[in-house]
Amino acid sequence: MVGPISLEVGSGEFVSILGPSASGKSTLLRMIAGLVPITNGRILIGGTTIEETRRAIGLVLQRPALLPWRTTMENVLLPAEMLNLNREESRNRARRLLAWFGLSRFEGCLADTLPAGMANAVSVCRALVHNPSLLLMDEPFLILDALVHEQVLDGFQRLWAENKTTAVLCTRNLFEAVLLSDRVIVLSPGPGRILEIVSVDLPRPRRLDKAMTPQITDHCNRIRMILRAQGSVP
Amino acid sequence: MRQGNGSARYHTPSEHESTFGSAGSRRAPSRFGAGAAIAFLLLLAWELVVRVLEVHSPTIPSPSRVFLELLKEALQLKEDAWITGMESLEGLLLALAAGFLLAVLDTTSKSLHRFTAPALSFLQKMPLIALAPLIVTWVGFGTAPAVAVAFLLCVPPLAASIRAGFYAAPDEILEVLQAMDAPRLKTLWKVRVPWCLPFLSSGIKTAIPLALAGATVAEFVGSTAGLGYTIVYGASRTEAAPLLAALTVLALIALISYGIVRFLEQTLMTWAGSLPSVTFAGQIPDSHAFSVDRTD
Repeated sequence: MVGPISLEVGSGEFVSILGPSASGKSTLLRMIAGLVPITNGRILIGGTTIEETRRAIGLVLQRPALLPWRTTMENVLLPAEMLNLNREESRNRARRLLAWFGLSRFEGCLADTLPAGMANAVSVCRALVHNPSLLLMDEPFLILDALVHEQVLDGFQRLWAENKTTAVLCTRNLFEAVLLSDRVIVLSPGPGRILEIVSVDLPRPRRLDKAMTPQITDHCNRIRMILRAQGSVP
Repeated sequence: MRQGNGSARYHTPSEHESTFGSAGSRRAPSRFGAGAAIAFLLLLAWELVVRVLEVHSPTIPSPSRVFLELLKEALQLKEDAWITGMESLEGLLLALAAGFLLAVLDTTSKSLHRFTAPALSFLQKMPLIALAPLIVTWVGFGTAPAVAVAFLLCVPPLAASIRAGFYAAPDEILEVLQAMDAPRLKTLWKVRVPWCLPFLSSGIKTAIPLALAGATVAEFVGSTAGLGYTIVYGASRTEAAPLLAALTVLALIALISYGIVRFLEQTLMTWAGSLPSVTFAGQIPDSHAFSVDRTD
């Protein structure tokens, strides 16, 4: 269930959709990806409907769902194979993507031998290998433990700064949303509608140092207040 | 979340592979050894009973007599084995093609999808082998009815296992590919089909004895060649030695075929061992002579 939502995401912008569970985040994301039909309204990507821009979408979901018989590299290259992209170029690109997460030495490992957090990072690389113009992520780092989470977010942040792919992230993690986004869209409990749009105008790269951490915490608190007013968080 | 393979998750690649290699090869022989020892003891007991009690009835031959019969009729039995084996194999391969086609259609058509599951489940509950005489009356004598019956018996388990395998691929990867507009046939070939292989081999292992039973029973009814014919012929003359010799050959074919599938499984699908074992449960018939659980 998704309530009436009107939202515009600029090119090269990173937007997070944050809301309690069952606020329709995933549904909204799947609608943008063209996986769930829209009952009312429209979604335009670069001025065209989803059917015409499909190939330009990279999707990352909660569960990485890597193919266990393929190596890390082969998993990342799957979209390139599907879309018949140039082998050598894709391979180079995949290598660069994996390097951002420090995964270069795992290139030849079977996907199933990867630790959980790394598998999630690989699924991010897989979503970017065909150079999509829109990156959609549905709680991709939910299952990571706190330490791996910070590590993966750091890698992802630097990777994103390099590529500037327009991105929409669904999350329930305030910190993740603030750290990565230009804007955080705060949704109400389902059916979700937009409570407030919080701009995060902190310089990038956002490091967890003495200067930056309090500012990130401030933003988190602001969002927490909005949600608390709705009774979404205690 | 992939909790099922938790134990393997943090292994380094080298550790991981070595656990695989040893687990399979170390335990299997000991089980086989125990089985063989019991079988040998039973045969020995049988031999002793026949000799000590001086049983001279042709319906209860000693294992050694059966063995001699095997040697004496080796050429004939080889020919019979070839006929029955080929009939079973043809039936099984045709069923494989039909099952695959059915499963592919199932994934592409919603209305068919609603129909196939109950249909397959119904067929799997039916004693289809009882249709053998009917099929002989339709198809005629010779090898054709044997192939047809083997085919008929193999389609439900094979189609069900391939179908289960196609749907075992996680939704997430299918969604990721759908979102980027990957061609459906390519998705089928690169994701669903490989994902299906462990299910397929499990289905084939169920289908092997069914195919052999189907071909043999069809030969009982409408053939003048093959192991099935040798079996009924022996029975009609109340002579058990040739009958048991033919049964022995039949059992050997079943075991060897099973062994081949198992070998292919272990060499081609090492990755499947790391999948959560739930993936392999709950398909096709639960009890079968040669269905072995995947945990070994």
